[in-house]
Amino acid sequence: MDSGIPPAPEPDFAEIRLRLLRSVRRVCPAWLRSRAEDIVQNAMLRVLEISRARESTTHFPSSYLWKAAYSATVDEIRRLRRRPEVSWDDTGLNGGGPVDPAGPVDPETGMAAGELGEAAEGCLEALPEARRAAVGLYLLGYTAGEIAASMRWREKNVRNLLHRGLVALRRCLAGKGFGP
Amino acid sequence: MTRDGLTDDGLREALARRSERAVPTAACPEPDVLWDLAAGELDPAPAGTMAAHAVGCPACREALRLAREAGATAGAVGTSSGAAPRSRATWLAAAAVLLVAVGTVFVVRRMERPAPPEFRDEELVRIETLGPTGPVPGGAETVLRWTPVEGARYDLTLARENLEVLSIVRGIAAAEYTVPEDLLRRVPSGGRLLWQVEAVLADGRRFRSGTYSVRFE
Repeated sequence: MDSGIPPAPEPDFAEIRLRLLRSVRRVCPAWLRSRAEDIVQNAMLRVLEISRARESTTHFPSSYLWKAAYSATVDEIRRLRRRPEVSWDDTGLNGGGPVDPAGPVDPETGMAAGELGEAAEGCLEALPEARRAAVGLYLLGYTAGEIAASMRWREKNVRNLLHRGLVALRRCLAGKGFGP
Repeated sequence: MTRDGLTDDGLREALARRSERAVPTAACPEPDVLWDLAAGELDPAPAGTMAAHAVGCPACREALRLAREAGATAGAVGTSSGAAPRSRATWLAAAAVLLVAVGTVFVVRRMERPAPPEFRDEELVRIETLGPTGPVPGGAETVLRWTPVEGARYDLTLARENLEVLSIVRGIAAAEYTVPEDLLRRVPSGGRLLWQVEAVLADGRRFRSGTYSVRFE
């Protein structure tokens, strides 16, 4: 049957899988990184199932598959996180788990980073909503342009929010004893 | 703590460590909503609400970082600078398809009905989900809500995760729909209900939303 819609390009599953794997390895902590293959494999199985189910009518657009693969990957990560049998030892901090490619974490440094992270979270929460969103995304690695596009704001406004937000964040952290 | 920890990178690392053991909560949006947020596909108001939660939630922060790594922002940014994801060209290629293909998941619908006049200016009318944005307990009343379009009635398509169409409801007057219980029973526990709505104006123009999903616990 002719749907009148030009067929989308054939999705490159191998490419999707490879890039997801790289992304998961970069983003996940050590104990999940060692399971990255499984996470992505399960996600890709779901994507392939969906794709096969649709093959009789039309190909999936690649963009949809990317989104589906991402969603399945996050679902997998969430599922693993919720599993009670994952012990704290699996974090790799106690020597029994996978090794973090970034190298061993000095306990004192790790604790200090943990305290800073907790304080930073608290200070982020205290920011007005727009500044919180801008600074939060920036600290996840989003550029000002990406934040502007994601939030549908003007980039100039984003830069302003970032400037003021980061100043306020550092001031708040200084008040908690994290400062020069 | 030394001043080094207060560099942008130091703050990034400290926040990332908070995500390492993060368990998602019931308030966490579905992954596809986080993708839409990163991709700039949410209206500013819901995007603001979603981002406010996500950046304060360790589990969602990790998911948002992954969305960026996986290229969700590539389609949203024309000329971003700074630390762009690797192989941007590939991401852009995928994103280019996105612009053409958003809303074509339920292509079957197009094949079933006579072709109406169709107006696809997404900048003019965008239909976004207003909920549910998180998992829904099994058996609970499920009301799908979306941004209203003035003067429109709505056609709604409901499908299972394998894209088997469960129901097509036409001519809905309000910008919401309570999913009937018998239909909910056809979605297994832990499964998702996919939905897509199309606003139909009196002059026959149609505006289609993206595809959203509700997961049942």
